[in-house]
Amino acid sequence: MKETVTALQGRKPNTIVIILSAVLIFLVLASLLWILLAPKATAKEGALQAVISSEGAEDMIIDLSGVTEPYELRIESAGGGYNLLRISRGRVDVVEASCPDKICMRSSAIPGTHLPVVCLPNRLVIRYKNAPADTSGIDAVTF
Amino acid sequence: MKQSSVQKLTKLSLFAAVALAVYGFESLLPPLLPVPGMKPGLANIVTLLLLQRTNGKDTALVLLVRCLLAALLFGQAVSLLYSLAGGALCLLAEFLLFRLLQKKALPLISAFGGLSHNLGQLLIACLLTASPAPLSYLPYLVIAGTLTGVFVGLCAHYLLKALPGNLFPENTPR
Repeated sequence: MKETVTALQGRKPNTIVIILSAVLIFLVLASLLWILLAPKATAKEGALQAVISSEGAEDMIIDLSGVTEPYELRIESAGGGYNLLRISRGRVDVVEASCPDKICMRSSAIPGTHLPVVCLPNRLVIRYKNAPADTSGIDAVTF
Repeated sequence: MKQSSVQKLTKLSLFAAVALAVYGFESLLPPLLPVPGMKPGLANIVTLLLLQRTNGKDTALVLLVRCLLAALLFGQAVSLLYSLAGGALCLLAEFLLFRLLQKKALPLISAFGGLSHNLGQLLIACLLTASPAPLSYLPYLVIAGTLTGVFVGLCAHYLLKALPGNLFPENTPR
């Protein structure tokens, strides 16, 4: 590392500027590609699940495709805070949170993506995932 | 000598107050994108100014004061950890790049600062939630950090031209 730094220092700063700019452009392009090409855990309506993890509690798995009427769910965190979730078909929103910044309430607003919702003060993570195939009974049997 | 150290303390405190005010103002702005925690990082203009005009130690002090006071005034314990991790990584990256680039190309330096700031915060988020889930935001934060970093760097670049050159006489180069 140190050798790289001194070796770079020997050259004109312009060369370093060009190298660093190239690195930045590469990173930004790679991120763009990642966003555009990332597999989305949403494609099949029939199989979307939400995994809700809270500190000191077991993960809770909710089948989002089976929801007909939206309902609310209150998650108490170990630290005394809470998050009020609204579970509807295909999505989870945080409608109320005990923390002052309310970042989690503004999450999950990018349409078409299923980014996890994170509430740092209450250590709450809501992830989306596709249900593992064929766990809910038998759909069809062939011989 | 005594006189100049008092002057320096006063000036640094002034910059800490400016950084805090900018930070407070920024937290009132609506988020640019609905990605959680995304901010333009305007308070980093002060960090860049101080890195340019003083040294790494003084800049780190001002940054520390800003983070502590911001957590006391606007935030909570978690946000202190958060902004300290981001701020420290950002300062480290900018400090190293300043040495490498001999105080040129502020927007570039600042872009890397913004990038490392976001990486630091993401790391803390992963540690606190003990889950890799926040990593899904990585590409968004890379792009946001770079763009806001370039903007902040440009702000600092033009602000430096307007500031008197002898602001910190003992550190003035040449």
